[in-house]
Amino acid sequence: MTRVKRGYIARRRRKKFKIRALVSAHRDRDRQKRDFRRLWITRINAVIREKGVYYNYSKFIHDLYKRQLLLNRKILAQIAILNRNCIYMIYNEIIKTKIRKNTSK
Amino acid sequence: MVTIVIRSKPDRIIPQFYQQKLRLSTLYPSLKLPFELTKMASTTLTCYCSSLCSTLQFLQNQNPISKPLSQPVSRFLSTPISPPILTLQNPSLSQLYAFKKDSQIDDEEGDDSESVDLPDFKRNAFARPKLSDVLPDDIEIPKPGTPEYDDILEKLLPKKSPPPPREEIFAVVMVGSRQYIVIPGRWIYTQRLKEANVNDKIVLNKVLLVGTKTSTYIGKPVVTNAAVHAVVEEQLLDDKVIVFKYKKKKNYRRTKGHRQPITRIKITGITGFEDYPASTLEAETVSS
Repeated sequence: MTRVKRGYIARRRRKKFKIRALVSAHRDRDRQKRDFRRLWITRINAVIREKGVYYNYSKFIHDLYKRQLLLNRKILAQIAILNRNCIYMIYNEIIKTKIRKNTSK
Repeated sequence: MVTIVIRSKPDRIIPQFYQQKLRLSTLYPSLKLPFELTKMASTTLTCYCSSLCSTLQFLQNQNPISKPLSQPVSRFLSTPISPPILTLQNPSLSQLYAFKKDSQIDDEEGDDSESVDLPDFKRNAFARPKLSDVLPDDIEIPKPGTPEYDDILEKLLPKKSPPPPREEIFAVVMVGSRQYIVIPGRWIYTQRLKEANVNDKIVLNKVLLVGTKTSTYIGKPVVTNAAVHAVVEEQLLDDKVIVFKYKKKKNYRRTKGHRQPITRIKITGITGFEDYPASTLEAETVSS
């Protein structure tokens, strides 16, 4: 058999893995944005569900927009972890309009 | 020939244990130098380390005044040696005991050349040199736990000052269409602020939430008149990100590097939120 240089096979293997690594990095950088948003939503959901039987993330976000709050999910998730009372205060703010509406009827 | 190259290493590489030992030499001036030098040596044969220590100790014993290492060795072996590199012949038994025969030892300062009674050192190649071997006999090593030990440690160890007190307040600020939790005294990376130069003072107006220890001010959407003061520290490029496009089996690949321009901002203070109505934990009572 003709002589094959020793590093030839290894170089091809390394090139393949390097390509895969770069492709994964590129793809996962876009995925990262999606993944983190999912994480934040899950966390906010977990904290908000403590506030009542029929209260959940979707209603929370709906009320948030109704009250014209601009806080995004990342910040809300961070606050939920670091400063639980803060999230409850935000919840109280959101709930105010609802109470008023109910009472006016 | 066992060649021992002793290079001085900078202090931060020497582990804490050895640093303490080195500093002990200031407390105990008659501490024998060769011990430290062998520890600092970058190439030694470990199997000969203990015997080296004992031979060096022996050689140092010959000279009651502690001198730099190269001098006594060269004198005994009578070979020309340049100061940074030290070469010792493989200490064989015959050579060690050869010193016994030569009772006349040349000394520059004219000290008494005494015939030294060699201690019976057992050539245990794997024995670790102990601190007690090296310290002179009359000195008592304080044991850990005693107040004397603590005193020495206090002198030797660097003192850590407590962190400076920080204002207990945070704000949520919107910069470059991204929101950050911001604390005075810390810095953040934001998108590049084009007109800002280094050391410019900046006021960030879009404050969405301010939280203190006692109350929270929730902005709908913005806390009016609140401002976050910051100083531009640096205008830099982010770490490089390689954009790699690849289609398999179609011989298509494109490589591109990308460095996003960013700005580092140091937050100095948060003001202007006091007049805004604060929020409380109690649910609002329905007013009739």
